[in-house]
Amino acid sequence: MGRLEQGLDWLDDRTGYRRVIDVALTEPVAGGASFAYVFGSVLTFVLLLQMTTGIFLAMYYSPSSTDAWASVANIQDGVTMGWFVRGLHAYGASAMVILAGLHMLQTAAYGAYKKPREMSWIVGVLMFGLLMAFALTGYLLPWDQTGYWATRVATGIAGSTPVVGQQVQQALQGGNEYGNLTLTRFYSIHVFILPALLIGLVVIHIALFRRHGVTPKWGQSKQQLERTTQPFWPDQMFRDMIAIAVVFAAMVGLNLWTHGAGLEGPADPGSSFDARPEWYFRPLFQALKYFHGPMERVVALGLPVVVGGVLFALPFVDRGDDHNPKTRIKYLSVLGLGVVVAGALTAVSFLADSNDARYQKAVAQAHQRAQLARRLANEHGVPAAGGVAVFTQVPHYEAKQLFAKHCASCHQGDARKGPEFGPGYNSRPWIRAFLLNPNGKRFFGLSGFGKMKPVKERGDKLDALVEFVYAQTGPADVKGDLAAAGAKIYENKCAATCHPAKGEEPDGSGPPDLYGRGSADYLVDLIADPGQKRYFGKLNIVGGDKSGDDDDDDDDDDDTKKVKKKVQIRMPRFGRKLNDDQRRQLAEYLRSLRRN
Amino acid sequence: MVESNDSMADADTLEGPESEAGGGDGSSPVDPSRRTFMARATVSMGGVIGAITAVPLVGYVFYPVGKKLVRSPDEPIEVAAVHELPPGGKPLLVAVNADAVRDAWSVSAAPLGAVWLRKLDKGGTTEVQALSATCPHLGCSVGYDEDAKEFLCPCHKSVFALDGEKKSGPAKRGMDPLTTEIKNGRVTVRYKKFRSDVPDREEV
Repeated sequence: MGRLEQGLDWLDDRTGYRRVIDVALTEPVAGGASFAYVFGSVLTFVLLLQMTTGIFLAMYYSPSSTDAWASVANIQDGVTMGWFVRGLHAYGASAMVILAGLHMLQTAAYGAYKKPREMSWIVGVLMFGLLMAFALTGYLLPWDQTGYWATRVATGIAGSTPVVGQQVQQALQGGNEYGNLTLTRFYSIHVFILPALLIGLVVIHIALFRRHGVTPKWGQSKQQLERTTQPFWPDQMFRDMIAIAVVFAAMVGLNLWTHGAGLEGPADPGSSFDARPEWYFRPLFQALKYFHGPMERVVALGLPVVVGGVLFALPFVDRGDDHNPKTRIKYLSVLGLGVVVAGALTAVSFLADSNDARYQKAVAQAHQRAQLARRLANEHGVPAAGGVAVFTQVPHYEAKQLFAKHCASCHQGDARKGPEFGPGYNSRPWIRAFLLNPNGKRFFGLSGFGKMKPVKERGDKLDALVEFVYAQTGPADVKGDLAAAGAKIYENKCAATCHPAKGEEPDGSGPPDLYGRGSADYLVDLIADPGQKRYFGKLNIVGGDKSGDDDDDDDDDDDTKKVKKKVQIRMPRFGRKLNDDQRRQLAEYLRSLRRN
Repeated sequence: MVESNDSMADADTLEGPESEAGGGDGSSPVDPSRRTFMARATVSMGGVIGAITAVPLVGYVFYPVGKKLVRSPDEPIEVAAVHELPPGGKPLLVAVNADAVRDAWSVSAAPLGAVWLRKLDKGGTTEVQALSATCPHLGCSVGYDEDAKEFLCPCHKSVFALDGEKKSGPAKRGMDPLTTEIKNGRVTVRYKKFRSDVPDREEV
């Protein structure tokens, strides 16, 4: 006797484990093993897989509205094989739904819900309901755009329940709005409550199965069945394992092919997102499109009740000993019709989406945004504010938002009024183009500011002038000699005629001081009030450039008094709207355009 | 108890499932070698499926091992102004707050730890001595005993001199010194953490 056997004998002596295994495996399968009976075992396998992957996902998941998406993104893009584990869990959910459906169809076809197995069927229908609850609660947990918006619809439907709707909805989502409590609630339901219920029902389901045994194919005599009976192990288990292997291979293959389940961008209540539920809710989703007004909620709440009611009633309506599907065709056709309608609705829903160019575009955009969010989350982490705050990790994110809100209407697009700010702004080529044609549309042509004479210098002198202007913006790659030569030309030509000379106090007549132009401090100050003497002065007042070369301070004051009521300025002062920090961010953003 | 268990096992005369499969329960006679094949094939398939699931999970579970998943930029952090430090080399405890601590998926401003600062006059120039407040023994927070003018860890009574030198107690080394710099009257510290309970300083 080998050491191992000795050890096992010892273990069996103390625990009696062999008897347990023996009892578990020596189930006689009346009429012989068959591939028709594999679904229960495959479901049990996928359930175990779901529990395993689920438990390990919980190891890296954090159910809070700030952390949920970030933690799932970390599983997806950071943790070793995290995408694989999460993908198995997601595809496992789909597999459960498909297998449960097939299991029920097989049971119905064989009349296995008939006396004395009614309770097995009822427990099974309850478990199918739990599967749906699993799917619904699990879909929200990543707190991404699809999960967030699709689940809002689901809880919204619950909220349309007559009389107690509000209470039901608030109990489900944990308060008046989606937030931390929604996640902690869904999480606890998904990982503690539902599994406990499901395990309980699985135990009952299997115990009932062991009590009544398999329902063999119809039309066999008792003697026939006894003669062809085979043991569960290994005859049936072998077939079960083949089915398990096929399902597992399909799941793993799909998981590898798609590199795990999808993850949209972080939930953003401020966005508009065209959400879709998981595929197994598509029939209901599509059905709701055909009903409006009060009928909508009747269908949304009623359809699941009707489907459940029909399923529960089945064993009590389809009675009698006859298991032959041909004689039970009217009952089976109800189920068949249900499957066909659900399939048709699903197909219509997916077809409608694939033919909807606008939807496809929105999906592509959302996908791009999701990719960006995930890249930023992986590289920089998600700020404590969570979720969409990940986008603030984009360089100049704040500034771009500010620019879009306050500046873009005048500085970008065809309807703009000022110079165009885009990639290359204040680069050498931009400055050169500006100096040669300052009144072009790209520059001051649309602004209504006075006209600047184009620079007449060419060749080396133009190069020098460009370098001089470029040097003012404070870049690192200035050619010093060239810029110095440019400064001389500037002092001789430009400062002598219009622009203030070096060190000269600007008189406010308009042409701005070029020293320091484009530097951060210069821009911060200019954005605060472009009408300051150092910048555009009177040029920034509509009609201000025509009031001539009025140097007298007193007159200036008079002027302001006179025009105070109807003074119209060209570029607004942002000193109050944007604080110093915001203007500095904008300035840094504008300076960053040079490199682009 | 043990005896009754034994007798039960004997009475059932348990055999392997395979041996039973061929015969009783009215099972149809099937070639035993075919059953052996089915049993082996079933176990093998189960093994392969188990391995395909388990191997990625091992990598998954041990992902954090050897990785610096909680980290902050390795830059000196401003902790105090020189004039805030008490005169006469009396120690002051200050928090080291990093602007951006990356903690797995999140990034936020967070305290990294605390340091004891002492202002010292060395030949007319001011220097600041910084000692990590994390006890080199087992990581408790080291306090200061005002009367004895020495550092004292409240957990296991390790005692350190004002310069961090170990005086008594279970600690295997003195308090961990950190590099400081004074810039424009502000004290910056380059914060580090060291492995606890070893005689030599190993950064972690």
